[in-house]
Amino acid sequence: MSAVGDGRPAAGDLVRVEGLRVSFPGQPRPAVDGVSLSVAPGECVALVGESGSGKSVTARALIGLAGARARVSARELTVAGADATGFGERQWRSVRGRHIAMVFQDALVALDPLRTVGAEIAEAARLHGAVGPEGTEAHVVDLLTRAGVPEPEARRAQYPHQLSGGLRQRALIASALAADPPLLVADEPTTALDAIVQAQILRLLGRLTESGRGLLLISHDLAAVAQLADRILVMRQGAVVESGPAERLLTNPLHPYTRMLLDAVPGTGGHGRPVPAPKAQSTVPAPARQARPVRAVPRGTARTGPGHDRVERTVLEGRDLTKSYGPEGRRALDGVSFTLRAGEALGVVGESGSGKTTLARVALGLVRPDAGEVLLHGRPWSAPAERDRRPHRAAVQFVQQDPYASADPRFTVARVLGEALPGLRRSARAERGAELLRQVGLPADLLSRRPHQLSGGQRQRVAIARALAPGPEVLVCDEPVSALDASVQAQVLRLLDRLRRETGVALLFITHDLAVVREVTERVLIMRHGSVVEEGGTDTILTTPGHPYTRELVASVLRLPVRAPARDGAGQGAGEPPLSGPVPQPITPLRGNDV
Amino acid sequence: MRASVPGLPPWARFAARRAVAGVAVVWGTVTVTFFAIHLAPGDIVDGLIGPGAAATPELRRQIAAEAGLDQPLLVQYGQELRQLASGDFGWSYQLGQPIGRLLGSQVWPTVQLAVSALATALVLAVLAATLTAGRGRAVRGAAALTELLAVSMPSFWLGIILLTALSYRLHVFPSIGAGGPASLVLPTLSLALPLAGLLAQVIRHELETADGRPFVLTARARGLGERALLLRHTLRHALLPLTTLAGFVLGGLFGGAVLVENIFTRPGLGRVLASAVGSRDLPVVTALVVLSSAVFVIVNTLVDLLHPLIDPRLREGGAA
Repeated sequence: MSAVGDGRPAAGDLVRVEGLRVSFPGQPRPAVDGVSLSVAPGECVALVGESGSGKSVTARALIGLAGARARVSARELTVAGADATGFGERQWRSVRGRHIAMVFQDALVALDPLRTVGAEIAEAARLHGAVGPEGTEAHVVDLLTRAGVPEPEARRAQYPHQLSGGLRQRALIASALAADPPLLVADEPTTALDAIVQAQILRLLGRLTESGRGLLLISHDLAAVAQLADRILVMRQGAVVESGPAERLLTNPLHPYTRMLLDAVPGTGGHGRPVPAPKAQSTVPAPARQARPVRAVPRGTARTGPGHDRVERTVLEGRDLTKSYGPEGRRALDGVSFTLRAGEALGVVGESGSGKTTLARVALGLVRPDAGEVLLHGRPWSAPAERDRRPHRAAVQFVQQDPYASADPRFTVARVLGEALPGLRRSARAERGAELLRQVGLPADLLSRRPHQLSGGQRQRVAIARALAPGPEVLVCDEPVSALDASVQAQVLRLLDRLRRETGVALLFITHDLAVVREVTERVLIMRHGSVVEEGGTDTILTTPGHPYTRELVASVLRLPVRAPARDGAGQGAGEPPLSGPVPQPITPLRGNDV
Repeated sequence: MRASVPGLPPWARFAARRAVAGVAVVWGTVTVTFFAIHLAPGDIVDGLIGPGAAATPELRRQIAAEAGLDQPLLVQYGQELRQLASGDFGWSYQLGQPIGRLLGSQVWPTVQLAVSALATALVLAVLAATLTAGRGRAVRGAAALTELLAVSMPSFWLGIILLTALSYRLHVFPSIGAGGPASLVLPTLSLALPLAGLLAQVIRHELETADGRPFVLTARARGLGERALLLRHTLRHALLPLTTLAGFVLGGLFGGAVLVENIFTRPGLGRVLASAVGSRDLPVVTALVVLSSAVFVIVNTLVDLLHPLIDPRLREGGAA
């Protein structure tokens, strides 16, 4: 908690930079423009910003790794007490890992996949002479132990892909600690992790600062940063827009951008809860005749109009679904049942490996269950041959996690949408494409763009427009916002909610993120190891979770401290959770807890 | 075949599956060769009699009957398969000696040539790629141009150039024969240079791709130097596509050996093949086709067995 004043020179700072500027040839504006920061021993400084804000480039510039083509300048750059502005490659190498060590996102790719984690950690230790050849083995085991890896002797001989996400992130942290650096720079260290594991890793990082190490934490996630940071710098388009002590900044943000970021944290109640009343008349512009899908409407169901008797009617139903993969028959789904009513939003929450993505594929009719079946309007959906299912495919559409990977990079938006509108004439297709874009809140002139010319949020909106094109009754969304920045995330969630109310499309919303599921769904299934452990109203489950696993999951949701001048009113404790309604457990401060 | 044998490690099961598939491949090449030769215009008996010798129709019939050529084609095909399956390649029409012995005496110079050419190509390619990967535009442009030239240069033409320059003019290396290591240099280079050009392009691309990966950033962030990074990390990642390609081009080396052995008048299978095709020495051609397809299958199976050793993610049956 030292050096609170921003940029104030302090003798003991582990790193200090003034007026950092990083630009790349061919880029219209510098990636980093005039950033100043310092980290003192035992202090956690957080650099927060959305993608493209320059936070990662800033971090890399601190160890001379901004890139071969980067032009870096600074009024002052002090690393380990030495002026680093004139450092050559050799001097930088002696600093990297020894004085400043980096922890990156997703150890699956941040550690060499062809080498054991032990070899990676040993390399880091030997490089700076932290150990001799004889002591390496014991040192590696010790580092793994300190990073909270159980059975370190066995783990050290394993490869990154053989470890769980949490364990390999710990191994990555162990490799960063190998030469006992006084400063750790963690660039999105928990972004790829499940919520429960994320909380554990944050606790581990917190313990490291308590032993006197400095931590520069880089993240897009204010809620994660709030757990650890002493000071926070908010970056936008290469510049720091606001900085200050974490408590002040989180509770009393001065800059509108900071406020926007805080509002965008899911589950903060920053924007209105969706109204769970799918009563609205359909405002979908009627698709041209040829494009209207053949809907699997049971005979006898009078289709008096869209939105009518929707609340009761079940669109998609899964009965006792079971699916195994691999020669060992690992159960991805183990007796899962669900019902999705017309116009409803049903959340499916689980961590990686819980079977939720398999459920999405089975619901889409892309994967055939080993046992059980899926019914669309009470008719067999998973059982028939693909040829018989295809005419009805328009009724169930898909929105995937990565909008960039889910569209052909060579296609224009018009072609991406046009593919979902077969049988339309060219002019009609363009017209309908523009309509669809308008529906998802995009201007029609994006039709001529290609995916790489769009922002992440725009790409996901295009993906949603494509899913809406054939006029579906069910939208299966598999982690639709987890690849997006928080502010964009909130917008896309609002869009999905609005579309559901306007068009009456039902959402099967699959996510690992409890806070997200709260924004859009009324009912939720909690999945673990291929089974549903709990099911019920979203509010009920989040406020009074019954199953121990759900309780653990709810407790792992990271929360922001409540804002001081907030509408919630004064007089409430600083521990008031932003999730409205009662919370099962008081928030325990994460720092200082044993992992 | 489909039922998994319990108790065998995955790689052994894989090798067994590939052995079965390999036999099928060899059988396929035998079949195609057999019918191609028998259905091609011209009479095989001419090949039996040899060039320049005239024979009466009766004599021709007699020779054909002795060789079994008067039988229906399918019967001949069956006999051929039976003979090959028992490991007997038969007798050469032209040389009048058992083909097994013929190939045995000629295989060694060709193996020497192929292995030294492949090794030279690999060394040259790795050197060229590691020295130029990630460098500035001028260096990479020059390297790419050199490689393009090397790739597009036919081995026989390169061989003639090398002969003219280094053998006839400068007398550095002998021009013919297979006497000692010196005689191997020029044939090896003529085969290796085009290969090296191809491999270098692949390796450099792999090195540059690997350079953008997060684990390389991690390694640099822990203070690793560029040379150690190359040796311990990125080169190993380039090894996977490199071995795949090397297994592939080894098959092509055999074709290249035909030309190069003839230019340098080296003994070897390439020369045997060239003369056998010219004189329609059917059993010899068939034997060489079987041999080369078997080598191709074996080498590529070995490469596939090597991959899990390089990349641990390919162990455990590929499931990551």
